[in-house]
Amino acid sequence: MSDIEQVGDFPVQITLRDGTIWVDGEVDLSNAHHLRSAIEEMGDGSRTRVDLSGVTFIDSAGLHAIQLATRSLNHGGRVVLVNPPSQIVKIVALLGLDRLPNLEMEGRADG
Amino acid sequence: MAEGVVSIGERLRRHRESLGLSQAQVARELDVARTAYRLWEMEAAKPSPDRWRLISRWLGVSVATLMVAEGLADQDEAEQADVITGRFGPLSWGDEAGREGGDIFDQERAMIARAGRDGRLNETETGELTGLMERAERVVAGRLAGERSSERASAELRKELSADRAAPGIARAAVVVAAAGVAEQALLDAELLTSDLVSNSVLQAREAAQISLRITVTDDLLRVAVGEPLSQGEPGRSDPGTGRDVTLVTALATRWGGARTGDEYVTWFEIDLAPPFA
Repeated sequence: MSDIEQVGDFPVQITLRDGTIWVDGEVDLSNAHHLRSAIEEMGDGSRTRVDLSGVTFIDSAGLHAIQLATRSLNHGGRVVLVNPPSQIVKIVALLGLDRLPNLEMEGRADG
Repeated sequence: MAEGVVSIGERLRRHRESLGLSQAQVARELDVARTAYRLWEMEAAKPSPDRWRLISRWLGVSVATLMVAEGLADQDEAEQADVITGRFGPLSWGDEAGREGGDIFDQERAMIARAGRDGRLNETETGELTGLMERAERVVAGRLAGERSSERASAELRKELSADRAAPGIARAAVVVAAAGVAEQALLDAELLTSDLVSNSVLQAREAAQISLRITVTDDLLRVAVGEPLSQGEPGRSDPGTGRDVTLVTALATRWGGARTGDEYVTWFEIDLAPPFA
């Protein structure tokens, strides 16, 4: 399944592959709701892997959407952010999202 | 002519799109951070010559073609160089030169010298290719020296945006254009804060409202101000910033604030820039 949303020059592509949700492109107010519903619908509610290595930009709206999606999880369920670029790791830490009990980080992309 | 002067950033974008690849995929291919690659395509930053070998291979064009794209050679001399090096087979000149050490100019000069010694190039050809490389190298060195000695040109950009969901992306693109050449981390932080400020204004704004964006870049400062209209009916609304999450702007901006200015509420942030080559 794939979903391509393009607003202006900023496309994001959300794909489910090998049990992981892959996000490619820029996530902001124009498409954050797609990311949220992708996590809610594609995830299995227990341990949902979201690979961020292809994300070239994400802002508070995008991270908030991920946070909202974690609320749809089953009890004890988690969203695992896989290979986030260093800028995203920094913002997640500043916002304290890494301390959320149902959000996990795994690996780190280089750029 | 038209094809010859297409910039490297534009060539990368066209080639990437023709292959249906994402920016992140191409960044991996070219061994560069995806944030840097994105700036190349937006022409906010230029790939340094030590990336040119990989870029030329990936695009399937000669180094001489890239030199034309960067204004380092004219079309005629590049075509002449391509005719000469083309004799070595479609890509073998570049492959052989790429095995030499140093930056692209060192590699090309070493390659020219070797091909001259073993008779694959005659004296005239050796002279022409060497001259082309030396002129290009001087221009690049001159540009670097110019960047070191002169202050960054200050830029000011004003833009009115429709308060819709595309506004944050348009505002980010404006910041990238206005602040081209600024240190990458400052640019990334400024994009993030701008996107957040504009998003907040979009969510607060009434239908069909306009958001104003003012970006100022000087030698030591990057400033972004976002104004949202305060309508007559909201006299008590003095601070639309109340209740917003200010964690990121507090952490990433050097200074920030918000104030009512005329019929607008303006939220702004500033990021101090290190002076170039301090």
